[in-house]
Amino acid sequence: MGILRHIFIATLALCATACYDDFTPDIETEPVLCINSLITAGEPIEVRVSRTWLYSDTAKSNRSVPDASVTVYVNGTTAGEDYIAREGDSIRIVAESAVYGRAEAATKVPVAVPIVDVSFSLSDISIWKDFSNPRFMYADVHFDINAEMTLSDQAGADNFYRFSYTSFAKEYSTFYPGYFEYDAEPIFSEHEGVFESVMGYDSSGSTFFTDRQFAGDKYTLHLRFTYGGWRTQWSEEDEYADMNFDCGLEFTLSSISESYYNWLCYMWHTENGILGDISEIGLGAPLRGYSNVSTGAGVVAARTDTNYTLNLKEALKQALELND
Amino acid sequence: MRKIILLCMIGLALCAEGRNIDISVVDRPAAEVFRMIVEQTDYNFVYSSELLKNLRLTIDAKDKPLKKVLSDIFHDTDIAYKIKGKNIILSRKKAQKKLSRPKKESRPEIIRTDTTTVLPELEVVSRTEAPPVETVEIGARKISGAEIKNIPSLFGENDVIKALQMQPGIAAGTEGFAGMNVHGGEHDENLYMLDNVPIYQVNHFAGLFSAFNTDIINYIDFYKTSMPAKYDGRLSSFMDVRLRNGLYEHHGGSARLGLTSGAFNIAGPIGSRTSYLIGLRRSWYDILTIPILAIVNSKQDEKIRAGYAFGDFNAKIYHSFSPDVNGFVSAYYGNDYLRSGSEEKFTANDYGWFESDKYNLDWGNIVVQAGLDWRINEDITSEFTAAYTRYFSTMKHDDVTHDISTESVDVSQSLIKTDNNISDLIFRGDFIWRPDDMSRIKFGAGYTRHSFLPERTSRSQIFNDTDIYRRDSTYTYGANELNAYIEYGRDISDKLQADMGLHASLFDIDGDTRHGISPRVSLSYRPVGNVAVKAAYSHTVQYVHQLAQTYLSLPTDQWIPVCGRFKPQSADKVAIGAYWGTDGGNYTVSAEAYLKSMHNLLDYRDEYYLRPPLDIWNDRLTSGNGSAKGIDFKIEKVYGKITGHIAYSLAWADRTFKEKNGGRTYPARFDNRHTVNIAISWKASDKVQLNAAWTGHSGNRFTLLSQVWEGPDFDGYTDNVPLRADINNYRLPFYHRLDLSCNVRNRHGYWSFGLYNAYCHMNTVGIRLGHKKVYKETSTGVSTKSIPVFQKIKLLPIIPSISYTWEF
Repeated sequence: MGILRHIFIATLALCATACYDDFTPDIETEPVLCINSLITAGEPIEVRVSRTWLYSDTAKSNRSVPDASVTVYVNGTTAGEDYIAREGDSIRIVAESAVYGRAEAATKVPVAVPIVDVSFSLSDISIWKDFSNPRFMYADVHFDINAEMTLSDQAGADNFYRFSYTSFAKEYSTFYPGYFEYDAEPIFSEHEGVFESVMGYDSSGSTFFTDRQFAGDKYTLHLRFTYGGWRTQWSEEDEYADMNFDCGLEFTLSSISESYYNWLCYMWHTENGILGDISEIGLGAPLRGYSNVSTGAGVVAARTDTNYTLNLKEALKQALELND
Repeated sequence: MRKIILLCMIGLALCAEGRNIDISVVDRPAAEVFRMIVEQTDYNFVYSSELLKNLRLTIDAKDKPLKKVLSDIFHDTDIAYKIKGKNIILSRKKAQKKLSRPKKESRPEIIRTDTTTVLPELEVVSRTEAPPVETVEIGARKISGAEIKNIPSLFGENDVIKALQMQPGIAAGTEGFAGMNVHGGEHDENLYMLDNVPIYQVNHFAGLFSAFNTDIINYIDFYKTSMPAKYDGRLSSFMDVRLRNGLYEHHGGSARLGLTSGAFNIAGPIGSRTSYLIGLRRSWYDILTIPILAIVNSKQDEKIRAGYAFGDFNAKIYHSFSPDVNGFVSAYYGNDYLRSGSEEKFTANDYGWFESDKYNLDWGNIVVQAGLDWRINEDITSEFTAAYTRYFSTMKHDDVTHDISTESVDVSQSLIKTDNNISDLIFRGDFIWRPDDMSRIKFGAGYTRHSFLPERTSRSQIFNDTDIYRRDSTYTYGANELNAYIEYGRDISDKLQADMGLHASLFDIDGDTRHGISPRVSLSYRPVGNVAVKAAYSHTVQYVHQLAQTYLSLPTDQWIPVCGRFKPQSADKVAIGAYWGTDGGNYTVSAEAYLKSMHNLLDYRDEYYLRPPLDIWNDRLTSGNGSAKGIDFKIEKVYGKITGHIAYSLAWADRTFKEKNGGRTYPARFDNRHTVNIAISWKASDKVQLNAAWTGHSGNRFTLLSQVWEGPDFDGYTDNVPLRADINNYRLPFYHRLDLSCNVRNRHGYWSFGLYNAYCHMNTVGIRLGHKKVYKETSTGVSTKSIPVFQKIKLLPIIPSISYTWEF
């Protein structure tokens, strides 16, 4: 049956290559200005100005706009160069060029979201350890982390959020949080359509959401990490032995502007959603890029972060003591 | 019982005898003469084509009874005639005299419907094929089941909708799929009916195949311009698919085996007054995938599960209670299913896991109805219908993982299930009253209870039988629709005919009542015998619409009512037409011009997908207007060895939505400026029939995002992003395709051979922003580089098909 398999693969390859035909459309294009900026509360503003180009144009050198001027307005007045973004500020960015015209976009720096409670537990713990030799002790712990983080949504406004995390550990230990289970928190997939949910489209990496389901109320995020681990080794003389247990996760819950949310949503639909897939084969309308800039090119967004450190030190020590 | 039927036949024969005929022809083909008789009576001719071979007739009859005319015609021939019901059945005299059972070639079947040809050798000449010169409507078409089979089709699957796509003024949608955009309208603006009952999902396999089994179709009525007052509820067209009623004298049917599906149909009598009809059709795709999956799965640990199939089932029982009262009950069930997923298992000494991932999709229609045709008196006939129609769609994703250790087995399950459906309970009565020979009044009323379930979704995560998470959401609507209509048609003089109608409707949803008044007028003037000019106006109202995110017909498409801030969609259409036909109506040349304005159209607003699906759909929609205009030309030949038509359309269509395209007017997707359709059937011999259909049209409109910009580097990743552009700003290349088919008869049935896209011109259905690899020789070897290019997306190459139909 080997020949049948080769025929099948060859037929598929033939069909795939026959489906696309390169060409140059006869269409007029007029480049416009593009503004990109991510404004973060507590930081100065950085603005990138460029221009649009014909998709098939491969000359990258001409995409900058040397003659562009940029003006930043904060709450209606011109901001100085030393301006640091603050929560609640309304910011408007205007870019002008003699060649490509004018572009502008506005956003509001969101207010930080209060994290009112965080709790966690370790589960599925398995331990390999040897404390018998005081000069060389080691511990290797595998576990799942189940955390719950409760936020308090500000009433009276449409709010948008994004969750992210990083891990930390001390020099003489190794910590890896494992796989972040996106499915454990259903709100991370609220942007998915029915078809995508049922057909199992991948939401990995999508941790943005809205307050539509809990407007003005508290909401608890279920954050689950599986197949995580920590290991270290030390001797009785080591002063840093206790420090080695310092490891864990740095949670960041960002309040993001609507434009930031829309951008993330667009990217997900393009790369992971059915609309992107369907338009790729001509059976749906193409997705045009999301933009809140007047020319349709660029995104001006804002974010304000709230951080929480989840230290596993006590939990690990407890786990090890419990198994003594 | 037989005596009663005999008495009925005698009665009908006497009635027939009472109808006088004027006819004067010299040496004309018999079929043409029959056609003239049909035009003057309510009777059809049923005969074997072999019977009339080379038969030419000369007759001069002035105001003579039908029976006398028939007697004169067949006096010196070997043909006998018999009047049964509304059919004049012809057979060979010799065979009838010598044999107690007629020979096969002279065995005409008794058919109680208007145009059915149960066996291909039978031909029927009937009034239903009245040429456009003689009718008052513009843009009306009656197509027999046999005609549908003469249109070559993809995979050899004859298709009602694809047959209509060959008519002028109808855009076909995406290549290969059964779209129908009539005179600049949208795909959900067509009302499809099965024996007078609406059917919501008319496609199988995302639109590649129609839900109607053409083997059991009697005929279809199609209206795209002059809308009968009886119909409303859609803006663009009305199509009623009428099934056959069965056979009364013997059991017969057919079985078809094709590359992609098979069908079995049987019809026959149940006693002397009742007939039955059963049709079954099913695709083979799931069976074809079995060996492929077996090969794939034999080589890997992960076992893939996949399968798709569609099927439909029709059943109809027709009963004659008396000569004036006939009734039927019928049922239709059509279903598509898609299964996919995988299973994977791992075991070690003391642990292991098993994961099962299943996706199940099921969607389709159910229609159940009972109908009663009652001839109240000589002047009034009526039709009563009680029906239940339902479109349903269910999708389910079930992901189960077993973590197995020596101590325990942990089971975690993620389950998502979603449904959407629409159900209608319908009661209606329709009447036709002929107060005199010059007038006809059609009137009726109906009630429909709509139940909408646009979405019911259940998401849950379960760990060892304990709910970790569960969220259920359900949106339902109930609506009551009442409608009534009256239509008055009159032959004002020999030259002038008029039809005037009014359809009134009430649509109540959650206490919010909308109403619609839809006037209709059609006029026809015949300055000379073979020439007619016509004018028509129609207003239509639509209370339900379909949400579809893609160009395909998917189970996620939802039928929802117009509610909230939106008003019912409506359209106004005026049209004029000019027609010329030859004597006997074999050739007709027509030109029909129309102007159409559409109001309160609904569509997704720009960037609607950025709003989470849990928002009510109304927030994702916007309303606007549309307009369309054009002219349809057609030359048609309806009988003889070669039949067919050549059609040309010149058309414009556009849309204006406040929240789309910045409020600017843009061309509709099927703003096809020029369209040419040619369909030809050639009966080369008694055994061989060749069919060809060529279509060519200006390319569909497409939104070409020609510019890009540098995406924001918010997360350490950036890519080029398409710049928004005006909707449908680019016209795709000219579309053209030739389809061929050939039917070859043998003793027991016939072979059908087909070639879709015979000269393999792969047409462009869209444009993508792609990349191609460029190879460049360098001093160190060959380097590759990926550069951005525009790419045409082309779908269907030449596709052959073959099937065999066994008749019994």
